[in-house]
Amino acid sequence: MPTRTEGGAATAARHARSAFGLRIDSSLLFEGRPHPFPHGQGTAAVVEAVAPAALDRHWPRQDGALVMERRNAAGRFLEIEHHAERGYRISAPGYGAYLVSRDGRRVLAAVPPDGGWQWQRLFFAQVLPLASALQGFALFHASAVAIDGRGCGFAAASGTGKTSLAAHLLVAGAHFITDDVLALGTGPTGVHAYPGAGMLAVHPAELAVLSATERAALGRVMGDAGKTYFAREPVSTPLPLSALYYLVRGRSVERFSIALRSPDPRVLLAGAFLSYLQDAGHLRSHLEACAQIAGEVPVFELRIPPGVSSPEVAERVAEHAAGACA
Amino acid sequence: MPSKSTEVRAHEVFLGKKARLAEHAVYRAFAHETVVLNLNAGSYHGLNPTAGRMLDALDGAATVREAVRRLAREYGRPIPEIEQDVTDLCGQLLERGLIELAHADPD
Repeated sequence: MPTRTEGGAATAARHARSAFGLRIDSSLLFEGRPHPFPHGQGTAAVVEAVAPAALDRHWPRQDGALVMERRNAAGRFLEIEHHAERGYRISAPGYGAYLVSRDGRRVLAAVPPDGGWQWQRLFFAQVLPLASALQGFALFHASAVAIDGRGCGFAAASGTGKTSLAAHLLVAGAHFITDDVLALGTGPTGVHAYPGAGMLAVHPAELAVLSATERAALGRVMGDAGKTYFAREPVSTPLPLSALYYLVRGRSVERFSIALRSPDPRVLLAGAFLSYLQDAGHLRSHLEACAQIAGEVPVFELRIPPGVSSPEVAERVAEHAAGACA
Repeated sequence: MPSKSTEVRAHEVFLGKKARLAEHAVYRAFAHETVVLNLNAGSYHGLNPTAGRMLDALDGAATVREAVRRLAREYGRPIPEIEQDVTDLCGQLLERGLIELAHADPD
């Protein structure tokens, strides 16, 4: 956002953010932890707000190979293109267009001119996670909270209740790490969960069971788009991942249980968030990350039968996690 | 269907060779499975623990025959039995492009 100095000349404000393992220097203002990671943690990335025409000059349309498209009933919606030299272009009507450099260190962002908050949905769901993955972080489709200073991740297919569980745990006093996209750092120091976007999206049915005080505890309401989107500052530093829960919900589940499981490599490998990253480097690093997670992080299967409420699930998970995360 | 004598000759060929992981392949052991990734094809192949151990032994041995001997000692099984299993595995991994056979280094 440009600001004016006393002399009247516009200067572009810079914003420091940290998300998905990235220490971000941005001319674009977005939700999230307004401080960089402590020195030595995370990797650097720059986000620059640009006009759509400027973005197109960097990447003429149809100049890349389409690697992902997600269509809605009205036609094309989200498109992701790849160019070997230029990197990736991510675009969705109404949500903006973004270029992510091939090393993930630079993002050009052309957000919709009418502003609003919804462009952040694409920014946090696709753009920043891609930059993170290109810089070596392992991205999983999972939510995560911190309990007693240690990270607990919740993985499942969409609609199974990852966010609902995380939301109820936050209400109960856990600290927010991320919603829907979990960035993990792996290596000699172990597996660490990095704070993600400062945003979580909660289903109306889950909000309905919360009191007004509990809803307020989730964060500041950004807006509604099928779900209610809350701005919520995540934890300040990466935390050791002490447990990974896989949620299983449905009529075939007869009773509630939390059981330690030998991690199935297929499930871990399939949990990659950006499935269109198929180059050898990413495939290799993802396999290595999954092997390290399988070897170092307790994995639990959380089976939830019909009729068990989310608050009840959260209560039982909190109790289990306090022991698992110790 | 290859004849028995053809199979025997194929196994003999394997035994004197060095079996090495293909350059475009990488593998990692999990609790109950070894996963081999073909980086070129983007395909994953699962090996049971025994096959995973065999791949480990093959990758670290000068020849397939040496790997067979090590595994026979490790598992306490007769060499001909291990030989059959290892050479069968070599055939499968070769077919999937996950290993390559090379001449053994001269002593």
